[in-house]
Amino acid sequence: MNQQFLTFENVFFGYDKKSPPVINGLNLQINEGKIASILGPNGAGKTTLLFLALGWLRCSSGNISLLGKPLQNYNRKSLGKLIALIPQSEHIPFEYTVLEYVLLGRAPYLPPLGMPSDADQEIALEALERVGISHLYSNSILGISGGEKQLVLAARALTQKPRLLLLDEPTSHLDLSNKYRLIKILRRLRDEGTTILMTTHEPEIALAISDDTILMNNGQVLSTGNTSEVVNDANLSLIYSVPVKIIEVEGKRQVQWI
Amino acid sequence: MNSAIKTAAIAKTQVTTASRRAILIWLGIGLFSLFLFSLFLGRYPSPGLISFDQLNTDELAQRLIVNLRLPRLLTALLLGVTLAASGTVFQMLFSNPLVEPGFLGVSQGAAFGAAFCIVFLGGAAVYTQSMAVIFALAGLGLSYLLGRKIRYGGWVLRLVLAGIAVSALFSAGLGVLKYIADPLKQLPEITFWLLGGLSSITWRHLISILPATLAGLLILYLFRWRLNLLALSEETAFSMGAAPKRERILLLTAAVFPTAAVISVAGMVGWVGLIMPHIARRLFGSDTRLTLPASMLLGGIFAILCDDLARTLLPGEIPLGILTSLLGALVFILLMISHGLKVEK
Amino acid sequence: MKKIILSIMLILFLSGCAPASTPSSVPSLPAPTNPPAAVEVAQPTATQSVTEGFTIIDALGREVNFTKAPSRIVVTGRALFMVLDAVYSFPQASERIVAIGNAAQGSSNFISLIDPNYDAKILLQSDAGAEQIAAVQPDLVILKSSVAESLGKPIEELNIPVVYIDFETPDQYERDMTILGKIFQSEERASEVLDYYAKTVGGIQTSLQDVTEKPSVLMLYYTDKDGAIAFNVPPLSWMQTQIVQIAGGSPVWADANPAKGWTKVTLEQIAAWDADKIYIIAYTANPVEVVEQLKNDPQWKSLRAVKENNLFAFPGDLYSWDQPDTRWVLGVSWLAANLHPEKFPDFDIMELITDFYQTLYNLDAKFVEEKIQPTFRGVLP
Repeated sequence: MNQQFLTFENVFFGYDKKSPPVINGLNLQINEGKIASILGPNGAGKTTLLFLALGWLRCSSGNISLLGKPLQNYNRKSLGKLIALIPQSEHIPFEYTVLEYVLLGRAPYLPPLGMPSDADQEIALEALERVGISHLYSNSILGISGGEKQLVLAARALTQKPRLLLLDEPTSHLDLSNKYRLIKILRRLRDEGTTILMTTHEPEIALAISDDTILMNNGQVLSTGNTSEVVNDANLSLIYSVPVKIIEVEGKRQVQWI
Repeated sequence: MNSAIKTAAIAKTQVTTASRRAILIWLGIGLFSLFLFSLFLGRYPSPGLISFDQLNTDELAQRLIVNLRLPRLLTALLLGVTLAASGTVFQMLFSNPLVEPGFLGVSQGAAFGAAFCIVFLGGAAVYTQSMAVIFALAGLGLSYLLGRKIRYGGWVLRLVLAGIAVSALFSAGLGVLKYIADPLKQLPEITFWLLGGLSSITWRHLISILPATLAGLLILYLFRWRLNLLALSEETAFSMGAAPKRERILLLTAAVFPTAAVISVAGMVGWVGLIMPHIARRLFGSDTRLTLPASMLLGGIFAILCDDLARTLLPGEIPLGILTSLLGALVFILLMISHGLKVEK
Repeated sequence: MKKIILSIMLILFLSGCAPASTPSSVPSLPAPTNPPAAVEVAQPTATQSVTEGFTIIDALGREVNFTKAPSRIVVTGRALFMVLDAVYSFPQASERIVAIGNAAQGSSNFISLIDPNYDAKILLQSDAGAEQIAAVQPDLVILKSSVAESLGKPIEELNIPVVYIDFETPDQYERDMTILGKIFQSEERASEVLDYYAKTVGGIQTSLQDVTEKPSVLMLYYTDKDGAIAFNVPPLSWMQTQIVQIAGGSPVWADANPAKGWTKVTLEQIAAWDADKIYIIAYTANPVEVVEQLKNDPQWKSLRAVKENNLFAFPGDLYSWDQPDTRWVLGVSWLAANLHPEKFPDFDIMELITDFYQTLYNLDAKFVEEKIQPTFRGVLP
């Protein structure tokens, strides 16, 4: 197991030269085969951190490495085969079928002007099966529910066969049953060896699913490490500025609102 | 995976693909037949189809077909194909089914350039064409640069706002030019150019636009599947291995160059780029792998049809832009009534 | 991928930068790609007899060759009546012209009055295309040079001879009348007409040669399109300005009009110019009525020219005499007599008009009395 899966070394990042940097001297290690949550209130810089990990945003100084190699040294296609993104939401006003949409994820495996083949279609159908919506393959993406749409985005990411899966607030718009579904899928993926890095502002989700947690507030990483250690009363009350308590129910740690 | 479902799914998609390919082929055949038919259609020697006998014996008829009708029909074909392809590309890149290729100051820029040439530089066709292309691209460039300065909104909103401003600027300039133009000679020329028409097309015009249009169309055709990716947000497209900024600029350029070229010879012809992608999506779904070639074929058919009407219906020439707007608007209304435009709320 | 993109962009950029690669040469015809017959600017029926052949150099400097005088002529385009009136000064016109465009201005159509074969002629729409014209099977198409690109070129592509003329200024009259003389193979007739113009204009200039004071003149074209009344001045190059200068007047708007067409002017500007004499031109409205209205208008009343009774309607019969129609010679004569009455004591307008119609169109005094006189506009008997 390569411990050096994804590392941030002294990373600085700012959106423009005039304002102060959003990420200040960050040092971080994401372990392979684990689920890590970036937890913090809105505006904490979680998505920025996620996009840095994606390679989409370039740090102004410092180094981000995947599997020992700096991100900018990868060519885009190779990166696309290693990292996949499930965005928070997507607005596409065109009536694709679910299968057509999921097929887009095969892009990194195609030559520059290539188009998906039957083999790619099979992979897409399998991805749909893995998230449990293969029966929707010929439905229009404009006609399915929000939760199902989220699963479509997940299936699309899975067709990239990534080693690192990035998710941006994956559960924020989902109802309870869909949250449950997604959590089950993520756990299974982790068990199969995929590394998962997700942002969330809900401590419950972090507690429910992640092995490691990165606590962020105001662009700073306050604490990082094992979830059970990092997510505690003091830290949560600090970043959310509200009194919060963590209690243990049947061996599982829960958030209790006061 | 449950292989029964999988096999069924694959079989079904294969059937759909095959039937769509068939429709595409039929569209192609339809286009070809229409083209041949239109060669024989006109007002010489009388309104209607020319007979084979006449064609064999009459030298003037032969020259008419080879020197006037043939380049004109080919230009109409290129016009329709280009506008429809550009329309599809623009709608995908802007994630908006209501944009047109003349957007972003391209149309108004071309109109301004042509009018400028007619008023101040003598209006020779060669210069008018060149000026139209130059200013069309200037319009695009200005919109792009201005869009970068705008401080709020996403990529799309910035470009749209900038495009509106640049179009308005060129529009005003056009108004000034129309005001000072000679009403006997120059103003009718400008007006005719603004309404669009192919009545002056000769081989020279066609040849002058071939490089830009064929090159651009080829690029768009090759990228037809990748266009789907570029409708997504930039970081998502990036995560799938695309270079979103660069690829978008490439495709925008590959769409605008041919558009500017055809506008420069045909004047302002609208609605083709708006409607054909809609019809294509209605028939083929939203995957641009199919809708791009489909709208190209549909655009060709539509343009040739309108041009046939423009030169045959009445003794005088009806401006092409009027016909495309009229028929285009009618088709649009029909589309809206029949199924409703399915747009995500 | 990067390399592909960059090289494609380069190719595209280069190709798009060269839309004007093929130069257009006006004098020679482009060779058709698939010539069914030899490329020759001649009759569709290629005769070998060169005895009667002649060459015309038209207004654009193009050489057009003929083996015999064309007998199926088409004259079409905009503002056509001015060209047609010049063409019909040749008696052969009626027979040899087979199709014409719109010959009217407003409701006046002179050609329909004087051409006995008018009804047999094919009337073309003003926006008729090359095919429609070709359907008439012409052996010559006469066009104004302004439509050379849009209409002339496609017709030329069919190997139908095209001759361009303009008839817009006095100089062009001389050139283009000579061209018409060749077309009708009637150069003596062309000289006859040109002599008439030279004599009349020369007579005016001789009478005015001692004139030291030139009254300042303002020519205003009145329009009430869409209910909005406007007064316009002509560009310097136009006939309207030139006849003022020939008639011994000084146009006040000399610096005012940068445009190539009629330009609107405000009443303020009109007052500022303070011209000695103001002439109102109108094409569809009646200039006399307009002048009457203006004389009663409080603002116009305060203009010096109006107070001194120097506001006139510019005269005309079927067409106003200010335009580059054949009647411009009437306009300039009338204007000269109006500006310098003392130099033209024997000026008789009726004699002038009768002489004009006799010389140009071989129409007698009776015709003038019956057909022309009722259409008089302006201070005319």
